[in-house]
Amino acid sequence: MKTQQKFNTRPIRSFKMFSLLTFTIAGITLCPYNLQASDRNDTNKSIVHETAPLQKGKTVTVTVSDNVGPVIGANVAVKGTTNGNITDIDGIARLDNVPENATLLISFVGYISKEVSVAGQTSFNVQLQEDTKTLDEVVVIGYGTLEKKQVTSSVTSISAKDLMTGVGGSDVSSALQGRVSGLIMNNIGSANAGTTFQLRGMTSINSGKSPLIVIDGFPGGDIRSLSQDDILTIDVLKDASAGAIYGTRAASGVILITTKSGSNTSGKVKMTYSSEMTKKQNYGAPEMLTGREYAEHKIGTDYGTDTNWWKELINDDNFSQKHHLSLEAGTENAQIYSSFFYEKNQGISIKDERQDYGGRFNANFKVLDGWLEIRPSVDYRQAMRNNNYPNFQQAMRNNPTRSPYDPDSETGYNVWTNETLDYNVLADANLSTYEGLDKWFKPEATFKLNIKPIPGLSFQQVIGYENRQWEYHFYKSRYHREEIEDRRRGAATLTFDKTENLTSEGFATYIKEFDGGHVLNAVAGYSYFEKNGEGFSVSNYDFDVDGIKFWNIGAGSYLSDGKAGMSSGKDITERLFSVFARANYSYQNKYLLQASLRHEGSSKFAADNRWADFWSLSGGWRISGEKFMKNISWIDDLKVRVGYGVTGNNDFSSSYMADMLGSDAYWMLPDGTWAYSFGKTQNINPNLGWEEKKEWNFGLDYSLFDGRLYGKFDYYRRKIDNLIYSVKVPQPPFTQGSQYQNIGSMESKGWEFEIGGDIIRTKDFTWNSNLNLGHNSGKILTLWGNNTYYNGNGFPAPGSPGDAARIEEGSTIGAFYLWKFAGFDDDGKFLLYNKEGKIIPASEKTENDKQYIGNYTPKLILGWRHTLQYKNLDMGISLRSWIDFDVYNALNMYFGIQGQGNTNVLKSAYGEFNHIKGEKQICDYYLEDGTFLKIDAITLGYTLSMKKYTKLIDRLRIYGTVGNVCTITGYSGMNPQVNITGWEGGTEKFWSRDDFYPTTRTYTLGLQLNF
Amino acid sequence: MKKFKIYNSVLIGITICLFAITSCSVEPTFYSQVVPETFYTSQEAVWERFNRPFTHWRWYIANNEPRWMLQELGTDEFCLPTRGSDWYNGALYQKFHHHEYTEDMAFIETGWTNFAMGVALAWDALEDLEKVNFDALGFAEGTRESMLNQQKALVASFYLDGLDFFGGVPLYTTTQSEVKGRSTDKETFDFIEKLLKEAIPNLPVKEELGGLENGSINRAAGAALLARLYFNAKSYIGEEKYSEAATICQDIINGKYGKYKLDTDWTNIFGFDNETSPEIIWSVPSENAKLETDGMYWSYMVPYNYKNYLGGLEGSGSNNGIGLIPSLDPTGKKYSYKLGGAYAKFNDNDIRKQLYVYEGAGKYRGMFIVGELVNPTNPNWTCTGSREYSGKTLVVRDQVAYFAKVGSAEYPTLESLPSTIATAEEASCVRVTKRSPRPNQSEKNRKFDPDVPVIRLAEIYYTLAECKMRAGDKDGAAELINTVRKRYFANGNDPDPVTGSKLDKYRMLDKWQLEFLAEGRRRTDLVRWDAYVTENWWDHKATNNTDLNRFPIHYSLIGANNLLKQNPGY
Repeated sequence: MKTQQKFNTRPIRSFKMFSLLTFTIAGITLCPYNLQASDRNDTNKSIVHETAPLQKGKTVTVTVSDNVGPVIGANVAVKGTTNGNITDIDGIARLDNVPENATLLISFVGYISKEVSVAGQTSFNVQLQEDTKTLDEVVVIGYGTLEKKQVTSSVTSISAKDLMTGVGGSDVSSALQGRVSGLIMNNIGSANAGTTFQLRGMTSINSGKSPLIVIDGFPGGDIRSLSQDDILTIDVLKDASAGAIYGTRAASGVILITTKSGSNTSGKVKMTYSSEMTKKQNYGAPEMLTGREYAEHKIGTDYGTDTNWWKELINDDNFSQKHHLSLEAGTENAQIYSSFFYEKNQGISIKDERQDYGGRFNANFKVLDGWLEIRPSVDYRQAMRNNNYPNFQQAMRNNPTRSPYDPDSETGYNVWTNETLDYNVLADANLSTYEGLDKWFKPEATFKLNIKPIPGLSFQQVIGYENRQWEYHFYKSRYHREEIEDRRRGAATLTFDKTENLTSEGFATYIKEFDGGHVLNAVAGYSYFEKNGEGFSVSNYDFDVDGIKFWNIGAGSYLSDGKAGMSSGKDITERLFSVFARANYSYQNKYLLQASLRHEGSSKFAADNRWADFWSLSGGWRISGEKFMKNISWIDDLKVRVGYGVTGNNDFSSSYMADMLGSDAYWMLPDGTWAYSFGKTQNINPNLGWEEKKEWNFGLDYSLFDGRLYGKFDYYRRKIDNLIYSVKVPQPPFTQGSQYQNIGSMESKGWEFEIGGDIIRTKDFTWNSNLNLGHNSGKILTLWGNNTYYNGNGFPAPGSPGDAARIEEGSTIGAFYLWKFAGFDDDGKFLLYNKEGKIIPASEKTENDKQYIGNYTPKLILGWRHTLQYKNLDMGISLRSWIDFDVYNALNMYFGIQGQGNTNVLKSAYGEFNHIKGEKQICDYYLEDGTFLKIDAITLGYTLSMKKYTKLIDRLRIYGTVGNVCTITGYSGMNPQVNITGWEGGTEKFWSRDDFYPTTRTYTLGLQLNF
Repeated sequence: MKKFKIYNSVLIGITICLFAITSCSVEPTFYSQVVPETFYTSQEAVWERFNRPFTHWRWYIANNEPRWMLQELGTDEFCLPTRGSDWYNGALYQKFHHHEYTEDMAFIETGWTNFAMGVALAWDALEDLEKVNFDALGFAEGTRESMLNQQKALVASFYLDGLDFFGGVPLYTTTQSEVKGRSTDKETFDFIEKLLKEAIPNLPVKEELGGLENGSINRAAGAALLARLYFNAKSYIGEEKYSEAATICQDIINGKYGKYKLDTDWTNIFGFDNETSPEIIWSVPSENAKLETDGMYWSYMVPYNYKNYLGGLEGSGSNNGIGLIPSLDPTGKKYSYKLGGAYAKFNDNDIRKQLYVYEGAGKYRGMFIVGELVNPTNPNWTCTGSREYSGKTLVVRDQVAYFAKVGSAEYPTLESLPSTIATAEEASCVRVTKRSPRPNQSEKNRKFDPDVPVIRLAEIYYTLAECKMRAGDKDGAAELINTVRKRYFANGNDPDPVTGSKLDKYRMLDKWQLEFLAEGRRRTDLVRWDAYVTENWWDHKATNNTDLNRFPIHYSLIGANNLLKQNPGY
């Protein structure tokens, strides 16, 4: 115990020194008016004071148990000191030097903490109660928290332990899959892929419009900057009554992420180390003809070998690993959480890998006798990327009789030129170098002033800064196909981009419980956000030495020839300012009301249209709190709620409202010299106004049978007015071909249902199951202006068969816009229906014959998670299903027809589709039901208390996870889980490198050590 | 409690500080963009603003393919045949050859948006320039009028293409207008006529013969545009205005609109220093490393490895696609169609009818890629094949057929070979290197030095000739054409001059073809002679559907502007 005592004073003082330092730096750097030096000295003197000297006391033994037996690892501490210990395998902890009048604090994760007075006793039996999470859980609602039972809008909260572990992925979204009803995440599974989020269906015609991400109170965060191990909770504000407090940017919902912070460990340092090793495996690759089959069918030249191009692009030697170390320590007045990590993630494809390093420091200090709380935090992450994975479309196209290798060539690759549809994609990837470096640096500080004379009143000021940087180095060797075709000796590019976000928010909070059961929780404040972006790029070509790559970029001959590229630019500063207020009132925890208002202005709009108001009103009735419910003992909690709110969307670049001249190309001045010509770069729309989402939400929360069955149901209906979209406009009168306009309105509606239960709850065995269901549908109500329709989801060359999506008045979101298939004629050519319902040859089709067919929005989306625990063994299974939706199988369409060139085809082109001979048609012949059931992950873990064996380690956990285990579906393409966000989805877009990536199963072995 | 007071004052101070870093202003701040208010600080800036519509025009007429494709691919001049497994692309180019135009073809969309955007940019520039104080910037008197009227003439030239491709189009005089529907053909015609008549007297005049052409619209260019409008009035509005066209042409030839004359060496017109060719009336300036313009068709036209024929010329990769409609069938017999087969129509003594060879220092000869591709100046510089003739020196034929497969089970004999737009091979079709010829690698920095001529004096001669012919003066017509032709023969001895007595529709069309091959006007000439939809050539059968003289309006344009009406027949 001596070591613990030693800890007592000095670290705390240094923490305080540090807090002062942070405090001072924040004051100096962020504040234009510096504090007087004398003031700082004064503060210095008054803050630093010694803690009370230790008193001698006696030794106390505490036995901690719960309703099933001893609790191992519980924290027992003398309140207000760092004197503490942890219970052993029998639930016993011994404390020395306990003063006579001391209070003991017994705590353990998942249990309600208990305080016991020593009052002369030396031995205690303490029984801890499990924290029945559903009721007393605290929900983060933005600018504050609220007890779950007081929430009147639709919020789904996820804690760290609900996230899947060991599923890998490029960001935390893969661990969140299927956890939140109504939240769709699209990520192709590459180590470098980004994630598209869509909450409650499409809220804006702008495809990919994502929920606002708020990390530790900083709106506009980047989910890619987070490490899963650092996340404490994720709260998803789904409806407008919850989101309205975030105003402008909340139309697509808000995801609030809270990272771990230190807790009061009585001065003890808690260390956690976790490590994962992952191996990936490809499955479900499209079945193309082999080299011999290709030759047999005389599709193109037979070069004699047999190459499986897909396999050539798979990195079978992939190995990923992750190490995360966190340290936590705290006393009542100072708590610190700090973490460091290293991750190496190799994708299943070659040239798809990244290495991430980072660290986080979250601290919380109480100073000035509780008047001021300061929470500095710094987060840094960098990702070194090789995002040069090849285009897998090419693996399908390439002639399989041709070898990618040529031992006689300089590079060992068989590089051929002049073929645009068939080229050595392996050599392309390997003869180019891609070095990317993403950086996120995020210091932030929160100052909370507790106005002590008025209990419950506090003021918080948050200053946050985020710096995102992107460095990109790219080189194509002189032996690269494109360089040979252009007769150049190498191509090099260096790029740098930087985005800086600044947030400053201040708000006052007043929480007061009045006599008679009236509780008021009110917040009012302001928020300021500023975004700046800049970048530059240089490129040059034709270098004498290949090996130097981009590191002597001036040496290429294109610079001296005047053809090197050089560019730089700084974005228009974007600013957002708002004032907001929210009040929650509850009466006897039965009748709940919430109102919020945000008045906000954005620099993106023209001067007259900058300001708008967003507001919400919601109420709840906890029926279970009523007298007449008292007798129904199996109902713990039952609440109905209704909410209405208005949120906005300003999701477009700030340059669109500025009347600017930009350069085009060189042209001759009258004297024969050359100068760039200048003209307008935007079609300005001074009338552009906010897109507004108005949403009704009706909900029910329930918790039954002693908290063993719980969940909620929500029904929502939303109308989005003044849809902002960049639409095609006629030229003239417009100088450019598109303009941001408020083009119309749409509506969507749906429901979500969540149910969870402790199916089995015994001492040795527990089985918990959580199921969530969601349904959403949407349609375009009106389109305004000169636009009657707008086509999308265009299919590419070869063939350019047309567009598969259209929006117009009354059209349903997710519907395909296709020709209706009518069969094949005797020559195997497509027959289609025209608009009169007559069968016509495909060659006679017109655009007017297309119709709305099918829909890629699933009727039901389901996520289901099981957690089982038997003694020290635990198991988790995550399932997900999309039911009743259509997928356009573009693979069969482009690769399932013979005789369309010398590119390879699917085996089915000579099997199932042997009868098709004509040009492909964009029709419902290729539309398939995509219903699937997917096992996202199976985890098996074993946890061992190490107390018995060593004093050094508390706990050890090992686990194995299989991620993306299998997909059960009748769909015949590669992957039915296509992108369904936006209005141009539902298609297996093999032509887009961002949408087409081999399906990957992951095998992870994980280790966790708690010290 | 004294302590608390000190705390309080500190805390309040901090709070105020924190508030103070926040501003309530939501004004944007600009950095790398220029706003009009601060732009016009020098004469140069005004010219730079003036030039914006011209850089669009350059892109539209000489760098981007749709306009050229629409004018050439459905005609008896060029085709883009499917070569083995190359160039099928959903039969897109076969549809051009068969006139199977549909409202979803991408070239047709761009064919509209490109001319229309030009109109918008020119009016926009004009509106901006009208606000500039020319006197304060020290401009010479008349510069303002010249600039404004050049924009007007440029608008007219864009509208002329719109009328030619689509018929009546929406007519705008400002960018501050509501969105409009289409005007009638006649209204569009009159509008263009009015614009040009207003502009011409105010356009600059080229006073120096062979003076530097810098892309601006001189008075002769404006007059030539008006001549084009009148010349094709029958196609546009059903009224003949040949005499009006003839008057203007005669005036241009007589020097009323500036100093021009026919170039004696045809390679001067298209060559590396052609900005001073006296024949050029309007051109797109081009210069290596400045504004590199290639007249569009290099990458579509020349064989894959043709760069090696030029000593390995860098940045000259290509896709081996477009070629001339063949003159010969697979057995070597000449097709009997009146139209098509341009290569055979060149007289063998015509100096243009030879293999393109760059001779050095900006000199070159020939304008075809034909026969065995071995460079006469260096036998090591050969163009080898990449497909059927991989590794072998390519022999380009004036035929379309799968010669590489002769002897196979599919095609046992030469006679069994089909010759269609769908059955070409790598070596099929003669190619043309007329616009923007390229140097050898040793002089790579001359690449793109040739300007791209858009209107040249020979067109005025030919237009006048056709007008005379239509007016009955066939000998006068023949004389004008022969005046131009002289330069293509050694010592000016034309072995096959045009004679008035033999001059008819087909001969006239042939003459247009020989002189203006690949210059992006063939469809207009065929339509004017009612030949576009009524004649057969090679694999193309006449549709006899006059609706096809105009292209459809792309559906996305109708989606974006619900006032637009589709053309009849689509």
